[in-house]
Amino acid sequence: MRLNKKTKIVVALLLLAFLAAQFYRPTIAVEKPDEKRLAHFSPEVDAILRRACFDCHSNQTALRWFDKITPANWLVADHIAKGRAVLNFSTWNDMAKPDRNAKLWEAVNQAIQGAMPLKSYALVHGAARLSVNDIQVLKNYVKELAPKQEADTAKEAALASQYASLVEEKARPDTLPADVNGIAYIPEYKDWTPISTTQRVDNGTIRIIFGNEVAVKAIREHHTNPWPNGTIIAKVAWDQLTDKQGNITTGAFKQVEYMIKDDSKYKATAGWAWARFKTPALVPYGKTSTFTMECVNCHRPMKDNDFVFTAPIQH
Amino acid sequence: MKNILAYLLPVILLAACGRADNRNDAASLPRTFNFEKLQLKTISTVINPAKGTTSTLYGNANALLALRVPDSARAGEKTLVLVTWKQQEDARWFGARIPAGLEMIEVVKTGTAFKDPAQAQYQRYNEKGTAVSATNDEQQQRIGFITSIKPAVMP
Ligand code: HEC
Ligand code: HEC
Repeated sequence: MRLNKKTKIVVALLLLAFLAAQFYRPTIAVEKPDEKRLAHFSPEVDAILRRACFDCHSNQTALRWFDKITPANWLVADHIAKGRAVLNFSTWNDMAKPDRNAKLWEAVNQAIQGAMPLKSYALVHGAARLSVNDIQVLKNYVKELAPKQEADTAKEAALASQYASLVEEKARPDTLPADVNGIAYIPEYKDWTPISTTQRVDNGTIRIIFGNEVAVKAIREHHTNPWPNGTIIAKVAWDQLTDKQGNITTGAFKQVEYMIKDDSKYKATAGWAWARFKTPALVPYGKTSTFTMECVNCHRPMKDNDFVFTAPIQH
Repeated sequence: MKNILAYLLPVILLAACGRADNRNDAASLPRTFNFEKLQLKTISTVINPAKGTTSTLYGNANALLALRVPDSARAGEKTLVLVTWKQQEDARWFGARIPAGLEMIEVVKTGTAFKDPAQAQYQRYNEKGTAVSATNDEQQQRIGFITSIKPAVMP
């Protein structure tokens, strides 16, 4: 094929623009690890995370040459900035121990669901892809972190004190609390239909998930993906309390969480409002309005399921 | 070619009609049990790790109040319904266990106090909602267990 003169000029200009663009590149800070803050699990787990996750979730990013070419590097830099902001293994030990455990379970679950490492990244970074064996190593490791299920007098005492104030009906604040996004606590959840229950082995809690009337109707009519606007799902979590017979039941109340569906109003947060109220004093969770990104990110592997984990039971 | 179509058809249908509906069908209650009509409140949930089952306790308002203050001799009809499912690992979250197939439904009714199990009536239903029998000893044991469950704290 022979190119005419005009085409040659265009190609030359494009090439020049491409080369010039190489000088215009994002800065991606890379630091030496601070051993005190850096995450250490087991040698096997460490190797997997360093290979598959550290480029975006640590300050020890090791970019390949093709990551550094403009415009690819802008995408890479964006992933790294966002990735480090939500999970950074270089500052792992800054978190309290329960938070570290919860984050690691979340990380392993994102890997199991194939949500992490990001698909676009794994496509070009073959070494980052996780094998069945890698996943098994991660699963085995977090399983050991699960709290032991056994009778616990401290948990019994925590429940007893909540119980006393419940019977006297003095636990709940006089006015309904609302969070930074203006989402108010909804006391009616307890009269809704329970659509499922969960035993969370990972964090030692037991949960009931309730659906409001809109949700219950949607379940009955097989319209749960997506859920209709007006759906509210409430999830209540308690400590697991183990009795003498070894049965597990609800201990102290920990929190209630809501997902409120409105695909236009809450478009920016996957079509749902997200809210969490903790302890019987119903303390709203979240300091800034963007706390909901935490919720959305962990629910993201369920994006083809309208961001909902629970498979509802028709009652 | 036919084979390929057979495989592709569900995929095409799914793509055309939207995403798969999300329900736990095996765990759903039999229509004949008419759970909704009972208009019950949710009281608590109990897991039996040895048997690998998970149960949720429901009751009318009267039963809920009576359970909260165990020695109260509240008058009026009290109904408790305990629904039991087999447990399964949650395929969507490693670390969670959720209800699988329905195992049975038990109903306890009494007009007197719960601490008086001999006065209570007991009925068991299988996963299809058909009434099944239980020996006297079994009934007394189950009534004792069901009426000993403490209501969960729900502020
Ligand atoms: C190419 C960059 C990249 C790689 C590699 C990567 N992630 Fe991510 N990760 C992100 C970004 C970006 C987010 C923010 C959410 C989003 O945009 O999807 C994120 C979010 C997460 C979150 C949610 C954190 C929160 O609390 O909001 C977890 C957990 C996670 N990643 C785990 C992992 C694990 C485990 C690996 C390795 C197996 C991994 N990631 C590899 C870019 C990456
Ligand atoms: C670490 C991961 C994680 C984070 C962060 C998270 N969730 Fe969830 N959420 C889950 C899992 C797993 C389930 C289902 C299992 C269960 O019942 O515990 C769930 C279930 C729910 C449900 C019941 C509906 C459903 O999807 O099954 C609600 C409501 C909910 N979450 C609200 C929230 C809110 C609000 C936030 C943020 C304040 C939040 N979640 C943050 C993991 C997470």
